[in-house]
Amino acid sequence: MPSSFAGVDLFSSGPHRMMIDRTGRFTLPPFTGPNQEAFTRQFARRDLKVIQTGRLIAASDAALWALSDAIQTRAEQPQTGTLIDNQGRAWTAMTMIDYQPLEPFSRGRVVSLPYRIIYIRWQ
Amino acid sequence: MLWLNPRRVTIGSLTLDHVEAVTLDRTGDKVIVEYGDAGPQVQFVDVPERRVTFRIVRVLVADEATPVKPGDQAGLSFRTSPSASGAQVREISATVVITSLEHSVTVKRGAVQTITAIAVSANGIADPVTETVIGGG
Repeated sequence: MPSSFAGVDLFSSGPHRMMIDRTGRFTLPPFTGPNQEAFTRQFARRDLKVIQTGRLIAASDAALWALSDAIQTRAEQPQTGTLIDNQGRAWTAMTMIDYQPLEPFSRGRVVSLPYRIIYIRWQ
Repeated sequence: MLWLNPRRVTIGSLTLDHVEAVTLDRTGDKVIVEYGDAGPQVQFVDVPERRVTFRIVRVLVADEATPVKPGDQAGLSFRTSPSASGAQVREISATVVITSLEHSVTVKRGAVQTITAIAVSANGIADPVTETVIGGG
């Protein structure tokens, strides 16, 4: 089962992985900052973030730019939808907020680009 | 690749005699290895940065101040054939940059000079090594 975001297969050109970022609640340790009490203060729940890393692969520069542009457009909108990983795990109402190519294009047998994407579910 | 006893080994205008061997190594300076999340096996490999290294090994039979030094760029060429005849003679050539000029002296082998050079592609795409058939047969 290929991964998808908002019903669109954007990433199957190359291998990729998804993981959730730190979860839980925001806290303030005792006796730090304005918290001069002897206990940890808790605040809001952390937003759910999913971090995806992978590599886009294409036969040409133009084809790779097309793959990259399609993701960049969704990050800039930003687009919200259901994110599904290769194993079928689904996260609903995720917004793509960050798309970062991690290196220049690598031109070998094919053209490829490693990337990182961050999705967030707003509270 | 290995060529034993190649003939007419030249670097620029310099002719090298008593060459025992020329080797050509192709290595990947950058190797991309990617895993996915389906299982333990590699899913993608590519080598977008590649290096061709020549090593010229020759025996020195007299004092010599070889006029090549690291950083020099010149054309390297030599000829090779499966026999001493003129049949199937091939000329190997490349533009190279010298990276080292080293010597060792032992009782068993005498004085041996090793010149190491990295081949340069004209445009970054074409293979930097050219092989041309010179002789017939």
